[in-house]
Amino acid sequence: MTERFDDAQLTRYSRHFLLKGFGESEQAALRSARVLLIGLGGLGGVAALYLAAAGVGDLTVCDHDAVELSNLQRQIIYGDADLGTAKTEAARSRLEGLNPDVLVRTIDQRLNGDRLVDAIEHADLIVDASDNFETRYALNRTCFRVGKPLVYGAAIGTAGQAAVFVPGNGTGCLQCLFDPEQDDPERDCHSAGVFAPLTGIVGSIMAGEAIKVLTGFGTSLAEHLLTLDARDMRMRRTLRPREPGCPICGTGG
Amino acid sequence: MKAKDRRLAELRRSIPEVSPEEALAMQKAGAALVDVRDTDEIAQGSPTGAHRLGRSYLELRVEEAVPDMDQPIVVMCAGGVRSLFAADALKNMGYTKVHSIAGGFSRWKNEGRPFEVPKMLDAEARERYARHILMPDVGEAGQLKLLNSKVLLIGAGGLGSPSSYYLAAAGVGTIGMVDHDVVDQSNLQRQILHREDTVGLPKVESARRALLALNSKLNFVAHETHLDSSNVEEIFSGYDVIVDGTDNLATRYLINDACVKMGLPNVHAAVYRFEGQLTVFWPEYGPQHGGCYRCMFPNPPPPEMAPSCAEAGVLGVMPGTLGLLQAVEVLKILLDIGEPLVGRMLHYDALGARFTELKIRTNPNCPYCREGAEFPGYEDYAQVCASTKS
Repeated sequence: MTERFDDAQLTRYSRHFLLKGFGESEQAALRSARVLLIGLGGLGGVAALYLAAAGVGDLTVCDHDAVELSNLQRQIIYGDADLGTAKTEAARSRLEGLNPDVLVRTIDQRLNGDRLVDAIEHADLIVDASDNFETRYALNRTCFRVGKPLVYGAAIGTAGQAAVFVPGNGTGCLQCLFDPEQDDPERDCHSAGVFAPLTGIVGSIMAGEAIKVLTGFGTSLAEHLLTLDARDMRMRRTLRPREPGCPICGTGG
Repeated sequence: MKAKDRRLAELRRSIPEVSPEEALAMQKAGAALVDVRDTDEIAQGSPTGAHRLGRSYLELRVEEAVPDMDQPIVVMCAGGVRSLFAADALKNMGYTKVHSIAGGFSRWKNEGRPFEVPKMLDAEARERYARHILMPDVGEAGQLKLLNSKVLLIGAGGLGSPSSYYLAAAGVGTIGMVDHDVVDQSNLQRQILHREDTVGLPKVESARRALLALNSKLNFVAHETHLDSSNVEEIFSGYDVIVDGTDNLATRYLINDACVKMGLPNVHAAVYRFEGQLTVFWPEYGPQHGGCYRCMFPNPPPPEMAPSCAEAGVLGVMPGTLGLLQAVEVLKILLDIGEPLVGRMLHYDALGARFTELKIRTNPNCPYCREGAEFPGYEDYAQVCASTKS
């Protein structure tokens, strides 16, 4: 198995190999993994950095925005010199600078319809770091239709949450958690603000969950919802509700 | 006579007016000088040491600035009229010794009394930190506090990478970093501050490049040295918060002891394989009396009990999450919001995606942090191995 990683890679990932239960086959699983990451904001940027650092082999990042000054309060993947540049391009150069082993692909537009289905079909795992419910529901719907695991995270104000949805495991989907009819589309970071490091915490947890799903290592949040409030630093992990009549995941997924 | 003039005449009878000279003498003797003018007026200048509370939120904010109802207060506006109304409001709240400055700031300035031009956010900062300014918990005042804050991180590794990144992004004005290592290829699996092309450089230099690229306005102070008892106080002095991201037990004791002695909050985190812990050691904080590291571990373990020196494995993203949690605690302390993790320890089990909170028992006889303790002195422990390399 050793010949599968060269010396530089053995050094690079040495702290993984020292972990009990995380060997070269787990690292190889990361290397051969194709991850689709939607949204390169506060959540997606940090998730992408840790996925690239950990050695995910093929990372597709999707965002249609350019870097703005107000992003830099929390989106550490960018810097002053990236202002006005497409987020996907700025992220690509940062990720390749961190780990040249990672193939970074970029999609510089909003994905929907057939293009979204294609992108999801091409991936082994989808990370939902988007900032709007329309995209979230579309990702959830398509992942369940195509049968791909979905790592979800959200952050607003000082509150954050994360979960993993795995089609077919009977633990529900995003739509079992939320009612699309009742969402308040006005409540987003533009109006409510967001505490800078909160997005990083949630984004790093999302990266950790993605690594667990891809390697089969540990227990992911596949049945639970993690909620946290950074204001008082309270964290809770609760069993997720599931809707037996859910139109997306059917009889509870 | 108009109603306002009648009311003013009444107020002049009930509120003692003082000259700027008298007000300055009272301020020097311990009175609180409260400037109730609007933000744009204050931006032009305000007496040195004044509480700039403004008029609209005066009643809501004054108690934080002046908790003692019997402390003398001198109220200032631009010309000495609004300050009479404001003084009356303070009297109604229960303040017993309220005065108004006759002639206000214009007379204060003309007489050559000391004032300063307070720092305000410029248009660029307003845009950069827009998402913070929107939050009631932060706002412009909070953002200014962050810009004037100084945070020292010990260790530019797995914990220090994300915490320094987010503190720089959030607008902490001065960030110091202590580390004497160079960037190694094996760091890149988790230490996102560093990159392929900084391998071989001192970590503080690599950190400086990454943090200034993110926020070129940051004041970064590199301490490329090893902390010991001879330099710890000199390095720590001037900082508001210390962040312990060290991988070394001897250094951890040193950080603890210096923080206790200097009254500095110590935001502590440690990572081992898939587990991490986080707490704030800050014996002086509020009612919690949360104790210090030595309350939990009075002394380093003897060499034969110490964990192996071999480097331990760590899931790449683990120190990331913990380092970010440290950044949250730092910002809460700097902004004075929420409830810091004093007296509580957050334990994170990444494998189970589970957070649990433990109460920390304070040692009432701790030779370092018990009330009235005389500082026992620093100990330069020989390298005690702890396999918590993060």
